[in-house]
Amino acid sequence: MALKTRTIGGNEVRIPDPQPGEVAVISRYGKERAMLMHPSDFNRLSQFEWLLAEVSQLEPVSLSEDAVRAHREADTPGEPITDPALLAEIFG
Amino acid sequence: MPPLGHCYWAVAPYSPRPPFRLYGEGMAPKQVASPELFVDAARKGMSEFVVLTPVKARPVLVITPVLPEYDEVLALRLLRLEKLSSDAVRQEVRDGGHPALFHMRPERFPGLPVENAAIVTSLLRLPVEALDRRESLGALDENELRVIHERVARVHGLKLDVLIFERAQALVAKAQRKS
Repeated sequence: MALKTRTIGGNEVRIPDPQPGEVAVISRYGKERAMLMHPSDFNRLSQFEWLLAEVSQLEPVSLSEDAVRAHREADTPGEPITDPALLAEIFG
Repeated sequence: MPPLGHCYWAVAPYSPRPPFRLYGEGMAPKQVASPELFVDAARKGMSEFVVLTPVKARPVLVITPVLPEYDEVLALRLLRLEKLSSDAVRQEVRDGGHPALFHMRPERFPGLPVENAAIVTSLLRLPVEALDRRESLGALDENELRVIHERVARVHGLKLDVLIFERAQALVAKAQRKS
């Protein structure tokens, strides 16, 4: 799933200067609230997400008429044997 | 409304297993202990019989789109959480700790009177006509459906590596053509 981005003006928040390869974890009361990363890392992560989504996108299979017919025929009962005499002969 | 991801009441069969209860006209069902006699008869050209198979009207979770050529879906049976052995196990299921039991969050399934999990190992192939689609009992979101698909693939040991590798190769080739 693609990451969504939200742009906040640099004047609205005070942030540490993120370095490539480093994530700044912003915590509050012992809990992780946000993570700050360098744009190049974020772009790499986004590309990876995109790549993963693309790779896992399955091509639909087109079923041939023969395959459709085979499935239908295999799944449609014919004339089952229900004659008690014949059943006794087969199954004892 | 497409049934994918929705929960509906359905008429779901149990898988026939030995002893098979053989139907014959005007006779009491005859028990056949194993498949061999059926196979022997099939080799002589007599392959179709009627075996009495119980069905149950039950809610199921549809996990695939309708296969248009056949009007069929794959669906999972459900387990009421109250049937699990303890509160601790119920909580584990809610927390995703049991890969074969997918917790169905009650707020997403208001039509189910109690809390349920989808049984990932209970894959059913059902004709759409076997679903009562008058009312959806609730639906998964896209991420939950992804998790179920992943678990179905894992629990059944589906080998997807070649598929993923070929997709990756195609993407690499596409990227190389662009550059």
